[in-house]
Amino acid sequence: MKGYTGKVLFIDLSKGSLEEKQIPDEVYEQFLSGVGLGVYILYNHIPTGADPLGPDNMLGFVSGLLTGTGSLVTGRWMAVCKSPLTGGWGDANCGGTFSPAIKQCGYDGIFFKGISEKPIYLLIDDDGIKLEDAAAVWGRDTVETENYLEEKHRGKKKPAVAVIGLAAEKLSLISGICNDRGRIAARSGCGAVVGSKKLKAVVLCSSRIIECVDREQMRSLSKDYATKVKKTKLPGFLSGGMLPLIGKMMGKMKVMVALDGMMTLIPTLKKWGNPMSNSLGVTSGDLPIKNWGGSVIDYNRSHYKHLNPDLITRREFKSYSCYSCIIGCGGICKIDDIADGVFAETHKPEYETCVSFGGLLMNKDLESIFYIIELLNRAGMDSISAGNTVAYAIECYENSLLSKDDTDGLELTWGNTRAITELIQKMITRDGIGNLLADGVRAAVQRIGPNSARYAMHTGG
Amino acid sequence: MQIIVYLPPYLKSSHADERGFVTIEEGATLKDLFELLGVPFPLGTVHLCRVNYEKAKLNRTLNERDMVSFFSLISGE
Repeated sequence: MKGYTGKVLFIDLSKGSLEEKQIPDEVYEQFLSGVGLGVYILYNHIPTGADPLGPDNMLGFVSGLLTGTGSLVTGRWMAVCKSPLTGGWGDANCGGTFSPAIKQCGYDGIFFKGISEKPIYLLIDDDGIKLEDAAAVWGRDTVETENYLEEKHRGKKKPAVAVIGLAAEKLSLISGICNDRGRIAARSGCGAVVGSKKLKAVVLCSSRIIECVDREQMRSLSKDYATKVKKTKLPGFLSGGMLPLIGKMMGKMKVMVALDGMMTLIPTLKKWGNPMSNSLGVTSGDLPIKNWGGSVIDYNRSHYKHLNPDLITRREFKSYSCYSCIIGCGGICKIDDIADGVFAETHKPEYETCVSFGGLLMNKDLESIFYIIELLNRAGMDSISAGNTVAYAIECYENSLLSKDDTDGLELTWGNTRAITELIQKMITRDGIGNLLADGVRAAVQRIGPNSARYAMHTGG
Repeated sequence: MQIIVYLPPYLKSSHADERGFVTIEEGATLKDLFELLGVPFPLGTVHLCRVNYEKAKLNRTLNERDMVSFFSLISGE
């Protein structure tokens, strides 16, 4: 199909220099694009022993091989780097509208090394490539920054903007990179690498055509797939309240069979998005509860009924699809009645966030989850790692490894939404106990002590 | 002829091979397939069944390489 541009852009932020490089076809044949191209570039450019937050680490924004070719469900972009969280390979990916924008600038990937002297952002438009002063947006949250940069650079084409928030500016090892006002490439601590380079944002507003060798064939394949997706829908009688029963049945099944995803996954995503697994996962035994130490006996119906996906979609006033996707599992939810209306709206919470701030913390307050999501999206902090770190802190508190003095007076008990929310705010700003926890559980064990390691659930960070 | 069948776990059948292919006589209908697979209560389950992602009645004649799918959220453990 040859949907790739064959070029990547290297930017050295220490020198302020740019270099465009051709990538041979053989590299794409061997590594494809996306994460594969990222592996190829990073392996050849990051020296052994490089400090992940130092100038030698390289961070790439890489588009997908098929993005922009007319294919469907191929609109994700990848952030790649040496992970400061684990010290090994790091990647994260994200939907929204950013992936095609990379290719529309003429590149399959944009790679940064070095460290800028002052906060800057990258702008690529039809006039060229520029590094601009980011003083006006440094310290501002991801939504405010995106709004500001989008307005400033709005031309014939609406720019695609990837930004970091306060968490990454403060080098939290569980920070990510946001786009589309709340979608986040969250994992691996890639946000901290961007923050270490003092790169606040990447603004892309070019409009080159993305090539595809056989566009007609691609169009035909996509049309066929789209027709199937449009036809699929759930039986009308199926409500969110029935999902725990289905979960119970799943937990008891002794065989595993291949399901037709088009008949099952697609219509459930269309109806609920991935929060369909919220309560189903509890009763099937799949969902982590009480810092991975509990079960449906602890987080029983009186708890999980509050995570019914019908209750989430009830707040959804606008659904949306990421680029080239026709499933449309994304949504914007109204939350102006929560927390004194601090935020008007937020993205529909994903299953992972509902789990991290639901069963994992024994929290049954769905409203608090909506609020925390918006806090994290604006700060650019990974909700999975953040929830996991709070769960660890609660167990440390429960087992007297943290005192009330250590927690700045917070009563860190299971399901205490007020304390959980305040702790998240402290982690974002690195205030008090938040500074101990802002880098995830592995770093927290080093600070709180080895006795706490048993409560730290992680695989290398 | 061969058709592909995605069965839910509660309808596990020895007639389907590892890849889900079921061999059935030319001209067989959906009802014939249900009987072969031992699908209980065909009139009820037909509502959860699609042929090539389209609704189908029990008298629908099946063709080579048709795909018969049952709606199920349950994949087993």
